[in-house]
Amino acid sequence: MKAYLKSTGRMFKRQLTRFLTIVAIIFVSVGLMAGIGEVQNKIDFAIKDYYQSQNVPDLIIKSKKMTGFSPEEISYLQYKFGTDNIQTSFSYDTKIDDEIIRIYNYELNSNINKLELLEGNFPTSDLEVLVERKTDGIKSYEVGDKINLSNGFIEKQYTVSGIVRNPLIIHKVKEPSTSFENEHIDKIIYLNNTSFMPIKITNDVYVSLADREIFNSYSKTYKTQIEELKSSIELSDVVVLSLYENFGLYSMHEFAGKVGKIAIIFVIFFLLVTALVVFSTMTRLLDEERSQIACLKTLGYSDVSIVGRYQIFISLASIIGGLMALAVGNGITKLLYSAFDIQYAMPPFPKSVPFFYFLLSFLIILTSALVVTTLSGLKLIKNKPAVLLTPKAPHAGKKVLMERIPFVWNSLSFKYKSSFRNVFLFKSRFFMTVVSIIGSTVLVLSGLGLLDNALKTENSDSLIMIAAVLIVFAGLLCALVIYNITNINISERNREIATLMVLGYSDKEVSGYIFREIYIMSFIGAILGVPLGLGFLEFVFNFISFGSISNVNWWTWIITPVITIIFTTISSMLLYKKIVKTNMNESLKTLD
Amino acid sequence: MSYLSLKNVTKEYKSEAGTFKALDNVTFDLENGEFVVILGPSGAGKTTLLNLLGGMDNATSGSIVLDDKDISKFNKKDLTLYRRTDVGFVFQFYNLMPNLTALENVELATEICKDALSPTDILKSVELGDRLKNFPAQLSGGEQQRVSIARAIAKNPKLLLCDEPTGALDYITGKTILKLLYSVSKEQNKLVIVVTHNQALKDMADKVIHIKNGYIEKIDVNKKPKPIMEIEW
Repeated sequence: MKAYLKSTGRMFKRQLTRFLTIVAIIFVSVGLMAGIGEVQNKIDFAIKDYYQSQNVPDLIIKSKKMTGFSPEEISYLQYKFGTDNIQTSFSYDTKIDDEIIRIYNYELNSNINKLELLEGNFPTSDLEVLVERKTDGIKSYEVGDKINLSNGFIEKQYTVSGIVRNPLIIHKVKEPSTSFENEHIDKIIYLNNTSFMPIKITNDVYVSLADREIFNSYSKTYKTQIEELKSSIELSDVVVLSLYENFGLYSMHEFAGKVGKIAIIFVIFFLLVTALVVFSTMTRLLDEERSQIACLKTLGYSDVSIVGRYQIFISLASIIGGLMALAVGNGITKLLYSAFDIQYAMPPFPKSVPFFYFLLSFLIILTSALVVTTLSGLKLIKNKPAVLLTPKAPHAGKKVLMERIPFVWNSLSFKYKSSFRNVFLFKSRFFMTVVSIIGSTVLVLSGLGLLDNALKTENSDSLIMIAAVLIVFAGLLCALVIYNITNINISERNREIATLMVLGYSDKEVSGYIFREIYIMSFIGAILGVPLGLGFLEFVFNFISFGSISNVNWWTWIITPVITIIFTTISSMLLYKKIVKTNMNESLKTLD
Repeated sequence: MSYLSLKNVTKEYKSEAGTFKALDNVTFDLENGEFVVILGPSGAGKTTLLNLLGGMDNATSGSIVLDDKDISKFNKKDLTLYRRTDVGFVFQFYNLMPNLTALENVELATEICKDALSPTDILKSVELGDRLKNFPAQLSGGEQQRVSIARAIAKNPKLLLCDEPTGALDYITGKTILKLLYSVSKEQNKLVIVVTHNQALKDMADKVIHIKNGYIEKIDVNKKPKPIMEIEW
């Protein structure tokens, strides 16, 4: 057992580069998958938190009568929902100096629909008022500003004592007027239950359900309950609005749902790339371990204990990569969350949320890595030790489809013929590289496309950050896959490289032999990535109702594949030294 | 001055364990058109000698002059050029590119070489005229070795170096390969050096260089080499 563990330990040491490659790809994948996936979760959690802390009303019942609700109607509602759960209010929209002003008049420090004080103080006298904060659609006042308001008979001067945020208006876009069709509110003033009107009128009743847990960010149970309640209100001439009609909270929830759906695309893509990287890396690793495996087999070690070494290898790499991804994933979630600030006044980032998406992404990745490793391990291990002791037969040369088009094939130089054959011969590597480079190109394009749009937006800081993160991750993905594939090619063709050197090929020519294939695949990926990226970007812009393709600069389309190819070139060049340091004696050695 | 002349060639490898002399004061002269066998057991320094003659490594001291050029003084770039144009190399395991056809494998060498011969003609001369478009996996061991020889001679080198050329082949095929190498030295007037541990080959060579523990034990000259087909092992 001790010797077995020793040899396992040495395998880790020998395969350190491959180990680190897998750690890195799992780090990148889980980080992005969890980071993007968790956004919806966090936003819904924040909505739920906010709903509870501000006691956001579930229903707003508006009277359509000039005189508002009668005392009998209010008693009915008090009886139906409980006196503590309703809040009466008066509101109307009026035009002063060409500006539409909404005036609320109710008990301002009420427990229902708590106004968040952003600046100043709550009113201490009847002549002090609160005003709504400035947003993209709403203008505001300064604390201490004087406002003259008239009820049609007398005019009074009020002083702004504080600036607040109304939980029902957490979005930053225009707030439609209830009295003036197709017009928007310019300012909102909150009177502190003063005798502003000659007679007291109540035209809004806020209803806050006693059970604050039921909402759960627009859960199904909540929807049923609200629909039942709405239809059970036996009043005439009223409009009953629920949180489903609230533009702010509901659209935030919907938007988060859309981000959640886009996350699925990322999950599928990264899962595919990770599985391919793990597959190609582990296949090569196992090929290099052939004689070790044969030795263990002849000594009578069971298949389980042999394959187990590689399962431990992949699990350990996955766990390390996954743990590293935890912090990065959370950072990405925070960043995307803060991007919502452009359209919504976001509540603070919720802390106490279980990392559901992180665990999910990690488990999906871990499972698929284990499955891929086990399958390739079992495939190799079912060979007899005698077969394993002989070297793996080289991939037999084969004509590729392109050779049937003599017009194209014959015009290719000899070096390219060789490269094209290899490119199309190793199908899973071709697929892995092209898919990753397409993904990388799409990420760069999304980043730059977002940047082009972001620079046209106010409060664009977090969008610029997102663009930067997308480009950084595109670079990481590209670097990882290209480094990995180049490394595999070099170790697999060690003998060919040594032979070329003996034949008198220069360092540049020899490395070109390896790099040319990588560049052909990257070129295909980068070129295919542009139209696919266009489609993706158009879909995303439409889906999240932000940005447009027409805002994307023309040169972004050209610079994107160039950036991807630069990423490829840099990552492959990292291995130039390894190629030229190949020992020529490798060509003389026996096959092993 | 001989065509190939080695004088006091020494190669040392330094390691933490100390200095190891792989070759010790090796001196010999060879002429163009000769068929030479370098014979010795494994670990005798054959590979080191092959590396130095093939321009794959520099000697620690001494001189190696081929056709009036001292290759022991060459830098990395000169050595690359030397391997490119002056040396033909035949490997024990053929070392053909699996994804290139027989013809393309020969072109691999001629493409980077100025005075190369026609790859098709050379392949025809080694009786592979009908196998030009076959990949290595579609050829037998002997055929692959003939492609390897064609690749080595197509660049019209000054020196043909063969590392255990029959090591991976069966008896009969091995003999035909040796016959082919012998005819190259005689018909094309090339210096052919075969490195081997197979004692039986000593009878067919013009000169046999016996190497042991890094030094030259003796050099035999055969006035009348035996025809290959009469040799047995």
